[in-house]
Amino acid sequence: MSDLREQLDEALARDGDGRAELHGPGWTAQLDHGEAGPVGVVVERLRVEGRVGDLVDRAQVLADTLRPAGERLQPVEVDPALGGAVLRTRPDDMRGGRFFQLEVDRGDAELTRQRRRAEGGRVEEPFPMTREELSRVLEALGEVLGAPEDEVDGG
Amino acid sequence: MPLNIDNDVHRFRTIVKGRVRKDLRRFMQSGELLGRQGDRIVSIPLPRIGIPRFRYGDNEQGGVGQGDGQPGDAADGQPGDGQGQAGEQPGQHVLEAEVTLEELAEIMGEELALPRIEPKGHKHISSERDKYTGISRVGPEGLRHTRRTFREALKRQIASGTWDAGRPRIVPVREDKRYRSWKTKSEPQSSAVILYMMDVSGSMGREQKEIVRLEAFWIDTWLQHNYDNVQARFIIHDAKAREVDRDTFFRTKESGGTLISSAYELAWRIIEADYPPDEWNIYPFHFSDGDNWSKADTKKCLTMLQERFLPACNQFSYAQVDSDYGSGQFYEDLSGSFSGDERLALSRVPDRDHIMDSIKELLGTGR
Repeated sequence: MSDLREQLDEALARDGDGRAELHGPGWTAQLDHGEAGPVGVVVERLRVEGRVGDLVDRAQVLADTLRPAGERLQPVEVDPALGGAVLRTRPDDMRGGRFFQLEVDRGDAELTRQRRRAEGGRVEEPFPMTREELSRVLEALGEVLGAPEDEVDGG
Repeated sequence: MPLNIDNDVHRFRTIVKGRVRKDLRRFMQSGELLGRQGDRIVSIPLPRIGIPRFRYGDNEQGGVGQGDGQPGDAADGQPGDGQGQAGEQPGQHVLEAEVTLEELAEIMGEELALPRIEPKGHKHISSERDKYTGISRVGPEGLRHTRRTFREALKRQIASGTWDAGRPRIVPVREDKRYRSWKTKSEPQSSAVILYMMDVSGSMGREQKEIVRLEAFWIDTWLQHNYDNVQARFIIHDAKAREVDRDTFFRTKESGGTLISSAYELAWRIIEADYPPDEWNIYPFHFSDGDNWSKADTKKCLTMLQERFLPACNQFSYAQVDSDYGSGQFYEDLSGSFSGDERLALSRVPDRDHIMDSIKELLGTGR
């Protein structure tokens, strides 16, 4: 069991109010969650605060490495001038009009699950994830957002 | 009395119009017309207007035929429909009929039950124009009609017997002089400007832009129908806005974020510089997927609409186009802030099927 997975288990056990905090090298994460069981947890949103870095590189590395629930992400908007990027699940990987949305704002990133509404617009909704998978997502986000600018590498 | 051919032409045009009306929704979605538009004429493909042809069958007068045949069989030498191998003969050509954009707009207006736009009262300009319509015996020397004057002089000289064909000299006197005369015609004029704004940020895909392209074409056609003089200006934006030509407007794709206020600011600068609101009917149209970058920018847009655009424009129209990811919050922000305000027309366009409905929502007020 990885350190991060152990930290996640401890945080979920300790923080019973629906928000768990985790730390890694160069990053801090806040996990807003619903019910947490021994195997999985219902995630409302996951926010990671890290270091400011090259946005274009980071967006591409995150698209290459992050696979929440097995869905591949793609950069939809990347704007260095605004200091932000939006990544979403590729349309081919979407199921039932649902997709992951990762909003990167300078050194921070927020992962949410969105559902396209039939009547127009979209709505944010919680998503279940196994603890193992959640720790992998955290690890990928932490690696990119916690790294100094010159160490970001999609390798 | 009209010739028979006139009746036939009239009948043919009625059929064409009926066919266009019937298939209008399909035309509006497919963009077939856009590629075919010439100057002011549009060629409409009409694959299903049947060409009359001789067929074997019963008729009241009877007749003489040869060989075997069944009712409904094509007459000799003409291929019938049926299953079988591909043939060697050329296929049937799709017929095309030409209609003017004017007629097309009329059909669209009837089909969508769009009210004809009434230009704003004080913007209904009546221009006075001088037109030379006749000849007068008095007038300023600057308007003297030389040819007419010399003709009168020649007539006078011939009549009085002073004309010498051997020594042809024409000397006009005062009575011979003729001058151009004019009438002042008062012509009602109404001018309109359409400002098209399109979000071309990374989240607007090819399909979204195609929907905007189609919708803009039909809106343009309708407004051209309603005004004598329509100008169109095109703005694209992601986080920055710039004015472009029509072609660039429909082809550009950027990857940046979305700041809607950038487009509104540029549009307002254009209005201020070129289209005084008390002289022009102004129609801004904005197309986006509604994913604005920040709430602060949305707030800025709402303020601009409230303080600048809505008081100055006939109508401000916003159409939100859905992508695979649905669409953003901007539509709700607008409808929440300007609920019941007729100066703002809102529409959602989930897909191509809804282009017609969207146009009706945007233009249905007849403002």
